[in-house]
Amino acid sequence: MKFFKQAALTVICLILGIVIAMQYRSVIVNNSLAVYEQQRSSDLITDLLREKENNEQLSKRIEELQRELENLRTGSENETDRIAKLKKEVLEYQILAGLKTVKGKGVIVTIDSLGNTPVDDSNILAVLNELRAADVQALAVNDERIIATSEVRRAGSYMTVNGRKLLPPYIIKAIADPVKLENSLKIMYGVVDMMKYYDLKVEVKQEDNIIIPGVRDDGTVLRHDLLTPVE
Amino acid sequence: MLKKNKGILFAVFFLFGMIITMQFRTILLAQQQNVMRQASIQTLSDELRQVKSEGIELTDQLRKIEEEIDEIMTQWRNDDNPMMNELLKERKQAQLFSGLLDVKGSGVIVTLNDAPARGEMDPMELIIHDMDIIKILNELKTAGAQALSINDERILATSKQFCTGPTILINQNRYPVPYIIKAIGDPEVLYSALVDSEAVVIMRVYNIQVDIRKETDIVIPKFRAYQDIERMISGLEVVNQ
Repeated sequence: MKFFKQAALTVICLILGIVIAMQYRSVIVNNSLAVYEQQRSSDLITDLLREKENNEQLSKRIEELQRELENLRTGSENETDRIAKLKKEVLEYQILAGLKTVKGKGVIVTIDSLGNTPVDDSNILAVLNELRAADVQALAVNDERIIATSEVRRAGSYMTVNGRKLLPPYIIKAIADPVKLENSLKIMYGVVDMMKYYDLKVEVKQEDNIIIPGVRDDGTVLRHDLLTPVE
Repeated sequence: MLKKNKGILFAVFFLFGMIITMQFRTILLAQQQNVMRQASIQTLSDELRQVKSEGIELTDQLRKIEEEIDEIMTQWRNDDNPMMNELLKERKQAQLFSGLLDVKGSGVIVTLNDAPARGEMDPMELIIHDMDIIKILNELKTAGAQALSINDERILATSKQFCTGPTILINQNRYPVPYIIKAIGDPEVLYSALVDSEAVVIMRVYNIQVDIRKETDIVIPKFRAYQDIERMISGLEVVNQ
């Protein structure tokens, strides 16, 4: 009788142990699955929102262009209108390409070395990318206009941009909504924090009248001799 | 002795019963949640697929209208008005400068892919980061690239390259790996600048797959403007010098 009781107790305790272990494991698996799926669905929602916004913009743009096309088809405009339209477009494209000196509101970021660590090209590239994420419209480093093909490259204690030698401090000018630009740089653990961590001096200042010069137009920067337009 | 035993037995059974009930309930609950979550993920990805295909259709539509407008404007050529012809030429030139024309030329095509998963490595070290892409673009720009694109998104002066998890946001669109970077320039110069660059060497150390090929007849599409160019330069006032 005594033996039977002990045996029963042992069996029960054993089962209890196994059940507890199972319970514990299923909770952990469920949790990690839940985290993964939550991440996945929040990613999907962000994607969905962006795609929808893109589509809305596209539809709006299509409508605009359709109206323009109608106008062009009727051919009601005279030679003077046509010339005005062409002039406007040429100017817009030249501004977009960075050929014009422009003025506007924005921020000025000054980066300098505090001592041993020199400013690296990756610091400047990171700042430029952050400003682009905040929808920047024009950029320059030490008044060298940044265009689509501008490099930022460190060579010893200086930097080359558009093939020109620039010395520190590096002054990055950016035109767009100043608040948005500053926030995007100063976000916690963002580029500014990162550079300060690496012992660099960083200063961000909002300005109303920033002038950014056009890219120098001597054929050394904006080159297109190897490009053939596709018809 | 007998009493003590009974007491222990009671406590053990009590616990046992509680745990079985808990286990049963968590499993039921988890299954319910799973079904719900899976259903919502399914709906979301279906919707995303649909919205994306709408987007492709809209992009095609936009492209056709732009072509039609272009066609009409080329017909404005008028040999009696030299100013008109001059402006039409300038317009093409300015479009070429600003990345608003499809272009063709020789150069290199770089294909990047995440490293194959390895158990003990931190996954953050196996995936491609925005800085990797930015550095490769920077090398290509230094080596004289005249036109650049990532996954056929034309790179402008204001194009951001942002990693969001294992995907990258370029201009307004998000792309998963592989990332295909096209650059038009001198193929030899571009190739040798890239192949020995620090960025590529480091990526290869981490087993990230970097494939660099010299190519002729690379086509880089124009920038896809989702809005009027006017709005992309709305904060810029031209200063005459």
